[in-house]
Amino acid sequence: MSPVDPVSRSAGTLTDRARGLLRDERVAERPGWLQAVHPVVKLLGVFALIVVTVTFDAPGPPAAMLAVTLVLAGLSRLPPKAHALRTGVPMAVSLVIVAPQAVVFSGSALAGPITVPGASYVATFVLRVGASVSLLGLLLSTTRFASLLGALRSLRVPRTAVTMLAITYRYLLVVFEELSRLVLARRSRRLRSATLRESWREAGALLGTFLLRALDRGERVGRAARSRGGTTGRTYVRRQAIGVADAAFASVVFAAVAAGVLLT
Amino acid sequence: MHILDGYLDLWVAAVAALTSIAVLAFAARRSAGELDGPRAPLLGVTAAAIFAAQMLNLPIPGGTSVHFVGGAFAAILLGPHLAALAMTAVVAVQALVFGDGGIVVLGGNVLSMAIVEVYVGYAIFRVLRPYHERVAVVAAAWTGITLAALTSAVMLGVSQAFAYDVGTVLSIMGGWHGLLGVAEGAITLLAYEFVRETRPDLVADRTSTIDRRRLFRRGSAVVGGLVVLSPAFAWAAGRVGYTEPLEHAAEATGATAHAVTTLPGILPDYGIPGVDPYVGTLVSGVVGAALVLAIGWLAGRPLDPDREPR
Amino acid sequence: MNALAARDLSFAYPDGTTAIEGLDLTIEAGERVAILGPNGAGKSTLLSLLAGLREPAGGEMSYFETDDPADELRDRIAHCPQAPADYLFNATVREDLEYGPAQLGIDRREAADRVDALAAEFKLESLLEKPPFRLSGGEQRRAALAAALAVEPDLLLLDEPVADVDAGHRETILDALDARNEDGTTIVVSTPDADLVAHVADRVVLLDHEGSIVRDGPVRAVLTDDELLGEVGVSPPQLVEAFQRAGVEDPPLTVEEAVERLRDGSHC
Repeated sequence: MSPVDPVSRSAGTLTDRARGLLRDERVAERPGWLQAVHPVVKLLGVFALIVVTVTFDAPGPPAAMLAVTLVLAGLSRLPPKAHALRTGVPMAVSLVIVAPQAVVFSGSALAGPITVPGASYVATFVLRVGASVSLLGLLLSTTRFASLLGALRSLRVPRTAVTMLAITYRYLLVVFEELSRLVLARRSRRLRSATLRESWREAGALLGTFLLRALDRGERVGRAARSRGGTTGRTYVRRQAIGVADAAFASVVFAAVAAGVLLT
Repeated sequence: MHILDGYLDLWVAAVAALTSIAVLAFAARRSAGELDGPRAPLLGVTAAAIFAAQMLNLPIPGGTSVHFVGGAFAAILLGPHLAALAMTAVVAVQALVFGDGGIVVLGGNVLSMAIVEVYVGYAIFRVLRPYHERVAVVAAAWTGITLAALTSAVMLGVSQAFAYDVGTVLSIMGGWHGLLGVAEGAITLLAYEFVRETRPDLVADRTSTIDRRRLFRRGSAVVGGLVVLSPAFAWAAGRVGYTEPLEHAAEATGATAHAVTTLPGILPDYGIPGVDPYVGTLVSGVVGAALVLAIGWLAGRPLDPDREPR
Repeated sequence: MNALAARDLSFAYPDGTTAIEGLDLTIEAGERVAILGPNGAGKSTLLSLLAGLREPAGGEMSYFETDDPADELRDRIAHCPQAPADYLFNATVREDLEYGPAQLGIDRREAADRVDALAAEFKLESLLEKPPFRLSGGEQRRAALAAALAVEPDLLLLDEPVADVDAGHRETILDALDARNEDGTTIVVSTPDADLVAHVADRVVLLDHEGSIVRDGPVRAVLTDDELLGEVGVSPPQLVEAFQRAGVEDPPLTVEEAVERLRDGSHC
């Protein structure tokens, strides 16, 4: 059998994405430290930690931050493999991108053409990216999207913006499934492998069909919203008590920010 | 094209975020009547669909594949303001659900992929459509994606955290996305033709009521303001650069300019050390402003109903 | 008082196809009406037009004998579309149940009470904090209906309310509709399924393929007219068909009715 053509491979990509989303939803329901932290505290805390992380200019502090995130991930019972992939892949890509700088930076030689400042810069950069990505991963896997939206509402993000984000998230899996169906239906009808030209023509029609269906669905959802009183985005605010988990996380953030300021 | 946290200096991320917020506020105001009604759900669902469509792999010769981005196509279907809002939802959900692109740099990603790509794509489409519809679609998609990449490149290039200089990043990202843009243009055209055949009402030429002179005046005011402010940004950059001990990185940026630059960038002088950063920023501000004004003027022209050819 | 009145209503899709032309329909308050027709007759389109969710190309709609447009009566009119996924657009089922009350400015304690009561009635308690996309089709259907009822409407327009619902939950939904109707709520249901009609309606509006009303009358009269049903392409209820084939003049419409008759032995 000929190798599966890229358009058909898209169904696999879509499934992977859907799995990732559902995994995050499940992990967010596990009992764990960060899961218990109030979403507003968590969002602001993670944001502050990333801000501090990206200002470090030596490899030590971001490495320490990365270590802290791994401890947090353990205490929040994140699946280790998924978190490692989520963090490791961007780090590897970043390493490839900035690796030439190890040679370009002038200074005393470390090994061969690699200089000490060069190696230091590359390590700092990659660790900064890794720590930031790991921090964001912590936030995303321990927070249900509904809670994250609640946090954005509390932080006075415009209601229309939050409504739009909510609806986009709500229909992600629905449209993923629809696109997969279209892709698979196309493959099931095909008897021989497509030429490049045919693949593109079909992809264009497939994309057109899919987007038109999405517009139709969008109009239907719009009518549903209208029948339910409009899209002003009004909601009932839900209060969540601040507890020990919040205090503990806040002190981690405070310590890290203080250390960051003192170190730089 | 998604920039991760750690790639941009904080000041670059902040300027990009503020610019994005300003443009999105404008877009939301321009479409306020539509957003209050059933348009917000429509945009939300469309954003989800564009996200999904971006996962569609398209074969290219050589056995690899590229994927659809869709900013220009969204602009053609929804109009620029609604499309900018929808693409913002796409970029935001990518960051906030899947971690594609960071949260501190979210404004930067929105600026390139939801604002530059959409508005530039739409402007090109409007300008060229009266002359040749198919060319207009392809050019809109190509220019949109290429200029979006160049926007990202500028943000990366001026960031000291990312040690490559503007010229290098511009040539690499511009060149690569210039090639990808060909694929984007082709798939956008194929999808556009499908929609035109099945739902001609969606891509019908809508007569616009926008006043060209008012548009020009407002555009000039915005651009003028940005030009005046650009040395302030440079000053802020200088402040941040000096308070943060990134000097060795900055020095190396200078070294990089000679060692790595192999292709001339659009503004080769920009990243070259020795040129006063204030002057450099002012110059690039002026060039950028001229570009924006030119696009704005060209985009405004066919909006004038009296001048509509045909 | 009538709950809704459509006069000379017509509608065309954006691509120019005509869906409805010159339709007149009046529904009295407290009525139970089924809109029956084959697939593609435009039942869903008609229902959303009746709910004031599409702009008609011509004609007029009025509700409760007022001149108020539908958008100002959203606390009194509820419409549940065919696909519950289109209706449940919030991040969690609870937010979806609260959505209508929140939009209409109902007090939060009152809204919370309503949500609890509806969750119990529709067996949704364990699903309240879940995102709607993690619900099965039948669960979504129940959640959507509960969400529609959360505003306590006077007029309820339901598009295929028991499609893909299993038998047990079908009873839950039908009981809920009966209870609302006893309190005076007007209920309009669209369906291609003649078997359902006798359970949810006293009056049937029969549409043909073109979306025109070919018959408007009491359930018994319309459902036993097998010739007319055959013409528009709707299969008659299975019970009706069975008893008619057996030569019974006045066939029963529901299982309960049939059992009663068989027990009486009047038709054995």
